[in-house]
Amino acid sequence: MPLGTKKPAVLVPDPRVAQAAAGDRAVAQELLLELLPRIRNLVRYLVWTDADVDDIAQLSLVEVARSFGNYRGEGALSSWADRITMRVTLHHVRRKRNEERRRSALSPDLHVVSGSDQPDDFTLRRETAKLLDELPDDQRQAVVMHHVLGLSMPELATELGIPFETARSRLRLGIQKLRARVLRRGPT
Amino acid sequence: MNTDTDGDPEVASYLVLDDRPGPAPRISRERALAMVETALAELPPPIAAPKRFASAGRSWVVAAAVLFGIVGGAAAARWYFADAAKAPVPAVAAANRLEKLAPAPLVGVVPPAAAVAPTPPEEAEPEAPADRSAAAERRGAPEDLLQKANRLRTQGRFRDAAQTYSAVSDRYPKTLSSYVAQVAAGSIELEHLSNPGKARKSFERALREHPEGALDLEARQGLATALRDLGQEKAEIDVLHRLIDVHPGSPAAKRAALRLAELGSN
Repeated sequence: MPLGTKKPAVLVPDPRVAQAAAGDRAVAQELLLELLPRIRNLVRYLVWTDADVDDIAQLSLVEVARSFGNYRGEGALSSWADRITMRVTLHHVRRKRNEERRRSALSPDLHVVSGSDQPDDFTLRRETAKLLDELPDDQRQAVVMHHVLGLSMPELATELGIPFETARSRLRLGIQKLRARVLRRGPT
Repeated sequence: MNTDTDGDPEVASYLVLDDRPGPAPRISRERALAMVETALAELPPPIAAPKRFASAGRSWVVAAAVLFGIVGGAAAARWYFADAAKAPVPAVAAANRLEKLAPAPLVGVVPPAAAVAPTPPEEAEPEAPADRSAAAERRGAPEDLLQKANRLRTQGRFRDAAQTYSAVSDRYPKTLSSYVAQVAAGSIELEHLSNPGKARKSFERALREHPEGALDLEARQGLATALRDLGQEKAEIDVLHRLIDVHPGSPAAKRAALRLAELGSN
């Protein structure tokens, strides 16, 4: 199992999903609030800088909310939402690919650490995202989809719409570059 | 999975995805609520389900039907025991109630007639507390208690949630609410409280009290996992075989077959 993924959850559907699908907005709100932090984190892994995170997370939330009725309980709800978020994000990135590319400056809040919970962990994760920012989009997506979401190589190729060998090459190059940057920066 | 790219824990161990802070920047609770409300505002209002059954997704459909049954049943109980002199309910409250009672917008799905009471709109409205009979209160409570347990789970108070689910089962045994609560309690004991023994009891009770019930598949899967965690291979094998017998062709049956192969029992 790739690192960064959890042990598969027990396949017992959360009964709240059925309630949400039935139109219970209070329950839907609960579920979306639970999922939102993870959705935002995944989006940040997949895209440049913080600027687009909440816009794409918003689109993902809408899609998740619309899709509650399609959840079959065949996996963890969070994993199901991950897939939706991944697709929404990739779609958004593709659409913007021909528009303005990398913004030179990082968001000012990149170095802001506030609150009391695990500041070191938060900083480490932010640094990881910055390392990913140095990769080309296609390699970054391959690394995140494989190592964060646990997609197999065939799944990766299918999701990105590219040949198997191309997917494999992107992943290999991405990992090599990421490793080099980690080593360059030294242990955290 | 490709081994020449997997073997880099130094890099990959940084890539952690969960709901804790980072790598996304922090946002306020108000901002998060605003985003969720925006998403909910995009949804169409609940619609009535068409009068036919869908053939796909049986377990999902029946689970939804059970939940609707709980809501509808509670409404029907209140209706049945309502005092004729009950106080009028504001129109807004009635609308909210109706929205909760609306069937799922699942295409081609309608809950079984026995599960959802054909409650006329005005009769589904909640009565004034002062006029509510003790019996009606008792019958309306499982739904409220179930909602409370759901809220506790949402807040991450898993022990409290499990106790509340158990309270539903203890106070209202052999009801649909009790059934749903047993499966949910088993799930929490297994996933969050690392207590496969209690999970096993919950799932077994659900299966015993509601043989071939709507959540049969989920209960059997949970039971098999609990037994696996308990290291009781023989019992796990029996459960997996039974699951395949009762739910042949389901994805769960395929996974069960794979697990049986792992255990050397085909």
